Amino acid sequence: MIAIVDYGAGNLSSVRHALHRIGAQVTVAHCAGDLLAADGIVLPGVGSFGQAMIQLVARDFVAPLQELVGRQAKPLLGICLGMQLLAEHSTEGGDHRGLGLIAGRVERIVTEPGLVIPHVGWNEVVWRADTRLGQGAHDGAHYYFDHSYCLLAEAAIVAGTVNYGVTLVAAIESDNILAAQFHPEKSQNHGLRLIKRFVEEVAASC
Amino acid sequence: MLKRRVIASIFVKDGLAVQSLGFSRWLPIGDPAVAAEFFNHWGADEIFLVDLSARRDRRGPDLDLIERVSRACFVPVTAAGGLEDVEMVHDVIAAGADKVAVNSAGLRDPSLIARIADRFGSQCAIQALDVKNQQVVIDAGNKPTGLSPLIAAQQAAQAGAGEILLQSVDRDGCRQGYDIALLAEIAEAVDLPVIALGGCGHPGHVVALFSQTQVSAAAIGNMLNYAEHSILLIKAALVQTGMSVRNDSYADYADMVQDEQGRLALVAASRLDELYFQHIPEEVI
Repeated sequence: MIAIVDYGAGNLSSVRHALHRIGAQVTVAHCAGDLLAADGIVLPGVGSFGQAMIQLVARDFVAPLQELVGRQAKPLLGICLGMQLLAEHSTEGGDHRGLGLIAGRVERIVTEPGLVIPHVGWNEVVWRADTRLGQGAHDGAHYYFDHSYCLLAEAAIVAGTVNYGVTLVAAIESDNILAAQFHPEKSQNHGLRLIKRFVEEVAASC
Repeated sequence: MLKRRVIASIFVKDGLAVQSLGFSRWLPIGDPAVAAEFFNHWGADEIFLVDLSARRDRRGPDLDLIERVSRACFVPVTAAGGLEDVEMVHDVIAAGADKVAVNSAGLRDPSLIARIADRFGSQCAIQALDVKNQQVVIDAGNKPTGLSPLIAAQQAAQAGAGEILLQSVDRDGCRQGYDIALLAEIAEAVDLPVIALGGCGHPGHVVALFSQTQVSAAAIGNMLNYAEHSILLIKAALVQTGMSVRNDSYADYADMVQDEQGRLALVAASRLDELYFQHIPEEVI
């Protein structure tokens, strides 16, 4: 059973459809208790860092996520804002602490003049061949991005990058965490392939 | 690099997908969910779902429609039509949309955009602008605001919108091409992605739009219903003029020629025979 965290925003329905399409059993976690029985957790996107963290705190999700994912190594898939929330800090909507499940911080994208923000549309991800996500991905695959802020993280956890005038982190992986800046649930077959990888890792961890 | 988008628009009136002509006449097409399924298979980069009946009786958005349409879509769905407050936006996203476009409500009260952005992120909040006789109109094209498209777009950007969708009421259904002059001006002046809508009649119009303006996306309505693989044909035309697009389909029409009206030239019988026996197994994820 895979639980999608509800922090008062997030495109839960789209994520649920994609997981169903892969054949996973899915539930929505409205509180931390709903996470305990889950074999894997998804932190969805479509939100704003500030409000999302306020809600995660208010709904008592923070410590349970840090325990389950950070210490008990439960598999987690972070999508878009969901990847950013894993970081230590973001400047979106003010100065906000994140979940601190990965080393890194989130800042507004700074790129060449003439390129507008948000970075929205289909863009090509360059994958590191020696990563789990990279191994399953096709060369030249495009994925759907829609973000104004980006993750700054150590190279060791970066599995894929994307070019938007500057090189941005497209995906990370670290032990039990897989996360993407793009929306795999909205990136057709290339995205579904990534979600399938996550579902397989969840099954293998049980 | 980031590719420009070809967005499939589905206009829905009383639950039925329709062709829109000048915002004043509508011809039936059929089930919106079926249209969405086709566009999803034909390479649409996004789906733009407009519920033209949502404002009537102030009932709010048709969540069942959004759920049925988005179920078939593994590309982003933008929902529009009668969105007036953040709770409606929440419900619409919970039903399956990934982004929303506000129109009249966002122009009456720009703080709506700011409130949507605060909760769902600015990238989720699109300000749609309907333009008639060079000014912005609201309430389904019936009420002039006196605002110029440029001022309206800049105000929306300041309020925190993520994108601007510029629709030409004059060109709606005309099939004579986009309003290139207006779109070039707005895309140049505003620091946000601009989506163009209104007037597309054949692939050449999208080629012209992308060559002559800086818009990020071409949204297309009526024309997509005229031919099988319509979006793939548009993408083939773009590729043939040297532009890059995202194409995940085997049907790239790379060796086929289109005339200026977007009609495919006759293909040799031998080539058709080859295609007939080419087996493309469907990828199972």
